[in-house]
Amino acid sequence: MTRLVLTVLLLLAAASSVRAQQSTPPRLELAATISGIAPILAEGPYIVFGVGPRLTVNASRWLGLELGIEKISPSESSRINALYTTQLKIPLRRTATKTLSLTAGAAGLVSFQHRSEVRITRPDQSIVVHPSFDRVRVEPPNMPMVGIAQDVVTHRHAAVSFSAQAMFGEAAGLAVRGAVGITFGLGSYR
Amino acid sequence: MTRAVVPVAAILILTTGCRTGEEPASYVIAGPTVPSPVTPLTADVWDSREELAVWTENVVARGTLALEGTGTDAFIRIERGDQPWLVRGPDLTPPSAGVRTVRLRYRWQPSVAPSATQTHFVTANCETVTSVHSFDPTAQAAAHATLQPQSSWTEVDLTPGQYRPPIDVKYCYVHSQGANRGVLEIDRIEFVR
Repeated sequence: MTRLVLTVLLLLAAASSVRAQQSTPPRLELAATISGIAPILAEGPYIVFGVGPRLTVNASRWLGLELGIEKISPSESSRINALYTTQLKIPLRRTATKTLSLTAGAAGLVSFQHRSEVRITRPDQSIVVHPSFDRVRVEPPNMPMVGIAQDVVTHRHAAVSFSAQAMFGEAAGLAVRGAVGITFGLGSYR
Repeated sequence: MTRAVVPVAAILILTTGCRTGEEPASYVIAGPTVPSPVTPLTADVWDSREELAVWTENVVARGTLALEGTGTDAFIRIERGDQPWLVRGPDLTPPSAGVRTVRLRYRWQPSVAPSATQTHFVTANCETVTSVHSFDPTAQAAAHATLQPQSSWTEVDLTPGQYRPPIDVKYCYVHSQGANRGVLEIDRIEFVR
């Protein structure tokens, strides 16, 4: 644990030495992301894929808050399952076109279930009615995640982002998440 | 102040989780009623022609059903055992209490090759006063029997399925999806306590 803290501090220190030559990110960034999550310690091997939007609020040049939600599949049931992520993004090194960041936060699961009304006529002609319903379940963000992200500016208002993270938790065990996305800045990358 | 409410609410939801939209309870739309024009000589035993007619002459009963014989010698004849059939008993007012299962007095004469399966599978379903399953309040009590070929009248107690006897019965019906060709005859239907 101490080693991890020291590593993070060293990375932050290294980042501060190159701040002079960096660009400024837009205040708001909107991204479309696809990801793959591979549990390592949970039962497997298998991989689930996610796709969804991500919003980044850059509070300053050196601190961003990322909120994302991804529909994950395949699913073993008729439910729609999604993974939401809330994480801090701390740039470690920034050049004119590239930014390497440390990310840390937590993820949780969201599920949505819709069932249409089902009517079953029994042999005695009585009818069993199972009414329709919609159910949304939001789990607390009980999967801590930590990783790195690389943003590559490709246009005044667009960037490509790559990230790799480790996730921990009851649902995931230990999982590795890799994601790639296209980011659009609401404001230009300067 | 108002600005702070939304993020605080979002944080509370995220940290505690939430769940909306509980699954509503299932319910039953009742089928046709079957009033009984006769009172059985013995309670919960249907043996005479008039008593058996209650089971066969109603809007729910179906299949190749015929009543033959007179008095207590009468029986229900199901000509096509290979086709679905159903006999529906009368609505019981008040419900019959303490019923464990259904007993049939029957003859089953299959008309299939000796090498083929010779049995006939029957089910009795009972609508009960209280739920028989905690996990499915709409379920009816079901009891089953696999009838063996019999050329003389034979009694069989249907084996209870996933319900715990005794039960209080509002009405009952006996049926089969049909399988083997043959003739099934039912001489008496009764509740077993």
